[in-house]
Amino acid sequence: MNGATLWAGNLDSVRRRIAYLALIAICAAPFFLANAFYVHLAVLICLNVAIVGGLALICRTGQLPLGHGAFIGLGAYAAVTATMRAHWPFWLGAVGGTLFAALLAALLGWVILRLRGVYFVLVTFAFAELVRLVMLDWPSLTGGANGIAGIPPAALFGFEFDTKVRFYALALVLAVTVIVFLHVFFTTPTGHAVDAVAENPALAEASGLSVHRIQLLAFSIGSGIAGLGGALYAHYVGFVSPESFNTALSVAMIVMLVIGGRQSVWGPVIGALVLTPLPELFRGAVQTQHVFYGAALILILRFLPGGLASLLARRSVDRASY
Amino acid sequence: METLLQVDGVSKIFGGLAALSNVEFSVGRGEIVGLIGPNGAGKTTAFNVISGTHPPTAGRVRFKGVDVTGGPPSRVVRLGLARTFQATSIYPAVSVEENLYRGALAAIDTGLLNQLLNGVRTRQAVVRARDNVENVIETMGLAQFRHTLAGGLSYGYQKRLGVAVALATKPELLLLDEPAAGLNPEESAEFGRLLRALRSRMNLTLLLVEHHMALVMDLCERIVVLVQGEKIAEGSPEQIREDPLVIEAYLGAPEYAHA
Repeated sequence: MNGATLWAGNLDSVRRRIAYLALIAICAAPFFLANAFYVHLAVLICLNVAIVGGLALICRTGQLPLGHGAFIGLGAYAAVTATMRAHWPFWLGAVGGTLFAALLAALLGWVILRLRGVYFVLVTFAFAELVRLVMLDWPSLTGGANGIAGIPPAALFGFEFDTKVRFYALALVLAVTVIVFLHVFFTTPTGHAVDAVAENPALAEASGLSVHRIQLLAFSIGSGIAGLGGALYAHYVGFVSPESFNTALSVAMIVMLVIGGRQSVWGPVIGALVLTPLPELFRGAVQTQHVFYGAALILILRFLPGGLASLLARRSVDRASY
Repeated sequence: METLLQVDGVSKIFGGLAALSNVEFSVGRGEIVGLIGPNGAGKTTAFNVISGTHPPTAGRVRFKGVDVTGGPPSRVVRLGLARTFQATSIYPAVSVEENLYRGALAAIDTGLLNQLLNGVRTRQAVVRARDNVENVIETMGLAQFRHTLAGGLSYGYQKRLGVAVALATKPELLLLDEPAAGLNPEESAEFGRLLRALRSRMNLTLLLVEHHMALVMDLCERIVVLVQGEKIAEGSPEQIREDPLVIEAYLGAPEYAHA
C-alpha cells in the first residue's frame, strides 16, 4: 500500500466517521427538541423507515407489491383487536399483528407469487382494496368507516410510551432494528439468493434455488414488518380507520423506496427522511404534493434508477477504483 | 455401466403439435452423449423436460433411479442434474466470483436464523461453498476475471461462465444446450478439450445438444438423433455417420451439416 491509498483510506474512514456521527446526531435530536410537531415527524419517519425497509426486502426479489398499505392495516387492526378486545399486553398484540400480516402474506403469496410483473402488481392492488372493503363492511369487528378510537398508548413492562418523545425512543429502536436486520440479511447466503432470484430467476431456479420459496420468504417477512409498523402506528396515533390504509399509503411507500433507492439498505432511510415531512410542507396545497410525487418519481426513474442512495454508493465505488 | 439418466417414453405436446413423441434413451455414468437433430427436432424441449422446466405430456424421467418427472428444476438440480441454457445465462451485473457463489448457494441448507446469527454450521457451509467456487474458477480458467463484472466478459467467456455456474452446483450429470454456438472453430475445439478435461477432473457425465458436427463427432461416445420429435437413431459416431435414415433426414443435406 503506497502513501496515496493510505491517505485515501484514512480520508474515507474519516468521512465515514463523520457520516455516522451526523446520523447519530439526527437520531438523538428529537430527544432535545422542544417542538412537539418535529418529534411527531421524527416518529413518523422512523415508522416509515421500518415499513419501507420491509417493502425493500420484497422488492429485492424482483416483485413489486402495490398493496403494502394493506399489510400495515392488517397488523394495526389485528394488534388493536388483540389489545382492546382480548386485553393482551401491547407487546403481545404487536407480535400478533406482525404474525397475522406475515401469515396472510404467506397464504396470498403462495398463490400469487407465480405471477410476474404487472400481473403481480395488479393482484396485490386488488387484495389491498379487498382488505380495505372488509374493514369498512365489518363494523362489529373493525368499527366500519368510523374506525377504532381510544387505542391505549404502547406500554412495555409497566413503562408507558405515552408522550411523543417516549414513543420516539420505541420507534427509533424499531427503525434501527429493521435496518440492521436488512444489512445482516443481505450478507447471508439467503440474501445472496434473493439478489440472484431478482437478477435472473431462470438461472437461479436452474442453480437449485427455489424462486418461489425465496420470494415467499421475502414477501412474508417484508409484510410482517409492515404489520409491526402498523401495530406501533395504531398505538401511537390512538386511532385507526380503513382510510388510514388506502392505496395512497401503498403508493407513498413505493415512492419513498424508489426515490430513496431500491438496491441499497440505506434507500428506505433516505426515502423516509426526505419524503415523510413533505405532506406537512405541502399542507396548504395538497394537490401540488401529488404533482411533486409524480414528477420526482419520473425524474428519479429516468436519471437515477438506483435512487438517492446510489449517489452515496457511486462515490464509494469511484474511490475504491483508485 | 450404471445408468444415470433414464428417459422413458417421453412425449410433449404443445397445442396439438407433438414436440416429442415417445422418446426413449438413457445415459450411463461417465459417458459423453450427444443429442442432435435439425432445427425444430425437439432437442431443447427434451432438455426442458429432463431438467424439470416443463412437465412431459406422457412418460417418465428418472435420474439415479429417482423419478424427477416435472421438476421443479431447483429440486432436480439438488439431486445432481444441472443444465446450461442456449442463450447465454449469467448474472451480468455482478462479478464472476459472485456468479459462481450464487451457483454454489443451494448447497448451503442451514436455516435462516442460523444464517442471520452466522452460526457454526452456516460458516462451515459457506467455507465449503467458497472452496467449491475456487475449484471451479481454477478448473474453468476464470481466475483472471474473478472481480470482473460478468456482463463485461467477451461472448466466449460468458458462455464459459454459464457452464461454470452450472458446475458450481456440483452436478453429476450436466446438460449443455449448444455450448459451442457462436464460437469460432478454434474456440470450439478448445471448448471440446475443456469438456473432456472436466469429465475426468469432476467425475462428470455430459449430455449435449450441439449443431457443431465436428465437435459432436469428435467429443461424443454415443449420439441420439431426433427428427421431428422422434428418435430415429442411436449409436456411436461411426454408426450415426453411416446410418441411412440419419443421412436422409439430416446429414444428407450439407447445409444442415455445417449449420
